[in-house]
Amino acid sequence: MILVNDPCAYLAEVPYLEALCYVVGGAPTTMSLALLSFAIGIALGSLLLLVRFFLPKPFPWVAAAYVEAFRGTPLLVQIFIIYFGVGGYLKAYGINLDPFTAGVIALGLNSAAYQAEIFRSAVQAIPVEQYLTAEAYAFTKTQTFRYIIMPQALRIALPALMNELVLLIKDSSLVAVIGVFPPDIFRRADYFSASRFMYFEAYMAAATVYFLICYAMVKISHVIEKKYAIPGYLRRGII
Amino acid sequence: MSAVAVQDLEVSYGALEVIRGVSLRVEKGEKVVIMGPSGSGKSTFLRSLIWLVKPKRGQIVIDGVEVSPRTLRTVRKKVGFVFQHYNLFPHLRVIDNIALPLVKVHGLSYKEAVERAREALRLVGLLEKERAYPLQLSGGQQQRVAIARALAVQPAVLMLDEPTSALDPELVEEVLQVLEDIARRGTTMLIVTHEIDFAEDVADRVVFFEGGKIVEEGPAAEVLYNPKSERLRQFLKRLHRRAF
Repeated sequence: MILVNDPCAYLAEVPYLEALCYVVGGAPTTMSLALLSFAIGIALGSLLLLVRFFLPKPFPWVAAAYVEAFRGTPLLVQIFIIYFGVGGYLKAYGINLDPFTAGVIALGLNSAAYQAEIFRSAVQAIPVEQYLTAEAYAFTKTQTFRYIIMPQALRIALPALMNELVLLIKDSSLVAVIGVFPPDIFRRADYFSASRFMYFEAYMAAATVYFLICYAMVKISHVIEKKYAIPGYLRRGII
Repeated sequence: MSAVAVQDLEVSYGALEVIRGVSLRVEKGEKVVIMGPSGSGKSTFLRSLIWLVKPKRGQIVIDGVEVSPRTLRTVRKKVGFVFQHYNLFPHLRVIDNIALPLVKVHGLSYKEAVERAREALRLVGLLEKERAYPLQLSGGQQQRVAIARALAVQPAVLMLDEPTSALDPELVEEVLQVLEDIARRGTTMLIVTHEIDFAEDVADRVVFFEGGKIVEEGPAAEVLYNPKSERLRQFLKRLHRRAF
């Protein structure tokens, strides 16, 4: 296989750098996959939380079942079910599910389950006294959630949410398996290794790009955490 | 019309009976101190008055309104409640801690609410801390903010659940001073406390709880210096020893 229009050919003397230059072109796809599915995850994950918080049984059980279903099965299997399984059925109706969309849906549904758990544990971390105080001051349940619980829970959830985004960035590489187009970082590494027979350089380059993106996310996360930290909270000596 | 009228109140945690038939009236402008050993049900009693713990039996009327599922919000709006551990909202500035219930529950505009919150802060001597966050304050200051939050709703009765028990000894005094000032302004107060000097200075009446019942009540001087029951005598002796 020959890489068409390879703008990185000038780096051919150092294969690792050439691979890096080529593979990094997959970053927009990778980031689109991760950010779109993260957004779906936030929307659906908070919906699951609201179901658990406000609705009477059996709705919270349904939400819990959703979480367990996605947590208890491999992401790759979920991707295949959506792309080949659901996609196959949709084809019968003339709807074409492309790999990118299927990937975003699968990653998003999966992330929703984990984000619902993040939100749940954050809400449960709020001391019961906060609810009691809100009750004593005649706040309704909705007001309590909106003005007292949610602002505190979001701050607690922030580090775990950013961690989830980092996981999504890395897990988006699984979507390469169903042939995502335009190719993501991992798929580009595949192309590169197949055309140059330089497997080590290709995948090390992919690892480097993933690492740099994730590390940047972690740094951004720290800035956001600091910005929204509640003044006066003791900061323990953890880096 | 009494500020608080409780008739035959019973409260249980599952099989455990915590309040076993308590009746109590607090008149408007009256200051009533509730004392008693730990586990005697004093805090539960106070909380059950606005159904933070739902009573099993009995009638509660606050400022002329009987507490029921239908009237619960109305009743709670008439009460200013101060907790042992202050329970401020850590993510809100001091001023907003006080203004939030006024805006969201009492229907004031934010501007009106801030004005009233400032008034309350002035009363507790913390106006200069209005922009601070609760966790930047000392325990005593936090409790004074909590008292301001309770005052700002202009309650028919101010309920305080051991307002100084969580504080360092040096911080107790500033909170008691604030409470004495408030008492002098004619606020109706129902206070659970172990501060015997405070009770003596402020209370019109002292109520002694034991085993979920009122075992003795009367004017402060009488109950504190001439207790009838042996149990209360022992209790006071221990408190005095701790105090001096």
